[in-house]
Amino acid sequence: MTRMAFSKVVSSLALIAMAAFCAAQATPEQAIVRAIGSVDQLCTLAAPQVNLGGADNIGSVAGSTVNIADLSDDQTLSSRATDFDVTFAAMCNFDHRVTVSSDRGGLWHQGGTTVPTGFADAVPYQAAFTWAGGSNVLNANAASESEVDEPLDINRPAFGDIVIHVHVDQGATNAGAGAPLVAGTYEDILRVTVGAQ
Amino acid sequence: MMRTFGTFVFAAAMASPALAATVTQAQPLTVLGDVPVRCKMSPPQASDGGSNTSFSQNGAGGEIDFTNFVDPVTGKLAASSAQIAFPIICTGAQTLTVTTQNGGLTNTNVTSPSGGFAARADYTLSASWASTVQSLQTVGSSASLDLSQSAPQSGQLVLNFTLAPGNQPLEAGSYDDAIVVQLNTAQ
Repeated sequence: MTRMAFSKVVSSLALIAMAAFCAAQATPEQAIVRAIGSVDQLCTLAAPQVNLGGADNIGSVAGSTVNIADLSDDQTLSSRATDFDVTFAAMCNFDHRVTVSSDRGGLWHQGGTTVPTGFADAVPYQAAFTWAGGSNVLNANAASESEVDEPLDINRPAFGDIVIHVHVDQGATNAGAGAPLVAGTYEDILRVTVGAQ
Repeated sequence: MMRTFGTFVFAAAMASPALAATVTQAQPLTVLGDVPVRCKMSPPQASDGGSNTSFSQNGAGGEIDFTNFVDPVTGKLAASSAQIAFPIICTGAQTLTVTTQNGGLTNTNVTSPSGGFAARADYTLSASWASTVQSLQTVGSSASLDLSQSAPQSGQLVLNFTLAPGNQPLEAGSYDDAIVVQLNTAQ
C-alpha cells in the first residue's frame, strides 16, 4: 500500500512537469502521462524466537536450535513431557499459505544403533500453530521417518507472529506408550514456509 | 526535460512484469534431544521353585535359604538348587557383573575345619543375560562373571545356583555367601 501511494505521488508530479514543458512550445500540444506502480506479492519471515517463559523441559536455545533438557525420564526411561512456544514474525501482503513441516515426522534417533525389540527410537510430538486468526496442528506422530506438513490458508494479507506450540506427551514413543528410548541424540527440523496458496 | 520524461516512462513499464512475482520465505527450527544411557534393575524374584530352597526378597536384594542344606543322616551337603531373576533394562551399553564374595557358602567361624569335615559348601553359579551365559564353580575365593553388553537390552538376569551332594560332612554352624550383582552404564 505504501508503494502504491508513493507511485501516485510521483505520477502527479510528472503531470505538473509536462504542463510547464508544453507552455514553452509555439504550438500547444497535449500529452498524457500515465503513471503506474505495482507492489509485488511479498512475504517476509523472521528467524524463530523461542519463548522460554512458559517452556517445560527445555535446556538451551542456540540460534535456530532448541535443545531439550532431558528427552527421557530417568525413572521410566521413556520420553519426558516437553513444551515450548516459538514465534516467527511474518508478513504477507496477499492471500497466502503458511505451511509448518517436520523433516522427519518426529524426533528420530540419529541412527547407527540397532533398535532391539521393545525399545523406541523416535518420539512423536505435536506442533499447534496459529496465524492471522487461523490455526492448525502438525502431528509428527513418528509413524515413519518421513516429512509431514500442515498448511494454513489465509485469504487476506496479514502480519504479526506465527506462534507454534510444540508438545511432547509423557511416555510417547514410536514403540508404544512408555517404551524405553534407545540412548543417543534425537533430532527433527521444523520448517515454517509462507508463500502463495 | 525530454530525457527525464523518457526515463520515467521506461521505469514505469519495467514495473509491470514484476506483478506476477511471489516471494516465498522459509525458516527452519532444529529440535534436538539427548537420551543418555540409563539402566534400571528391579529387585530379584524367584523364577522357579528350585529344590530344598526358599527365597525371600529384601529391598533391592534377597535371600536364598537352603532349607535342607545337609543330609540329616550323613551331615553331608544335600543336593539343592535355586533360580532367581533380576528384571533389567538398559537403553545402551552396560557392564554387568555377578560376583561371589566368599567363593562358596562358608562357615566363617571355622578357620580350619576338623579332619574329615568341611567348612565350605561349593556350588555352581550360572548366569544368563541377553543371550550370554557364563558360569563358575566356587573354590573358596571371590570370583566374578562378566555379562556386559554393548547394545540396549531388556529382560532378566537369571542366576542358577546348584549344590551337588557333598562327600564330607560339614561342621556345624552358619554358612553364607554374598552374591553381588553390579550393573552400570557403559559408553
